[in-house]
Amino acid sequence: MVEGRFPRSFDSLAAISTLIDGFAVRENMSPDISFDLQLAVEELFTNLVKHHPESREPILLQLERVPDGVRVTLEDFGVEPWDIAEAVATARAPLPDQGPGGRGLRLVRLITDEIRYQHDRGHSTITLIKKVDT
Amino acid sequence: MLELKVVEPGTVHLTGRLDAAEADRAMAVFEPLPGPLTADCEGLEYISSAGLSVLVVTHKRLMASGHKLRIVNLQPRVRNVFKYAGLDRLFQVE
Repeated sequence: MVEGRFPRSFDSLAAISTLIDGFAVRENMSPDISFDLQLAVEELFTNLVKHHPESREPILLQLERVPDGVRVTLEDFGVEPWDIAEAVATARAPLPDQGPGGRGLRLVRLITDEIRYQHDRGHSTITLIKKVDT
Repeated sequence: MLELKVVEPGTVHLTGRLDAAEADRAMAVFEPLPGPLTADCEGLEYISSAGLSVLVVTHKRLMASGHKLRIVNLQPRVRNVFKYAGLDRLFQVE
């Protein structure tokens, strides 16, 4: 398992990408899987940053190899409940003449296999599964 | 890291990663450019929804003045993101 704590800023994305790339190489995963993991994590991370200005706590990212793929966990501290898994499940692509909202969460739904959300006393945990062919 | 070069009138070369951290800088490059425009993405390794939004906003601005944004030389993984987002039908993607 690898993990990192990242300040709630878009400037964290470069370090997040490096962490995921290193994990994928270590686990002998294809660049395609690394790309999808980076995209899913960016979309979730940036949504957490935008939706939870009430927190100044860093976001914890963990990646772990599981028997049929990868489990990604994002833990967010000091935040109000917001069920991002439900938002992913219901996200629709915006029409061309509408704003960009929803496009990123729809991408998450299309490139991952499972997403779960838990919230307990200001602590949100988002768990994402990406299946990987062995 | 994203590199943007306006190498000739009407063509912007993108190299690297167009993510949420780079979207504002990319928009600042595209915003003053008149149409028609071509985005050459041969060196573009990664794009997220924030990067797609830069291109959608630019496309809409150009359409308002009767022009369009062509997207050329997409790498397969980046092309997939366009497809998943349904934008391969919006843009002229070559």
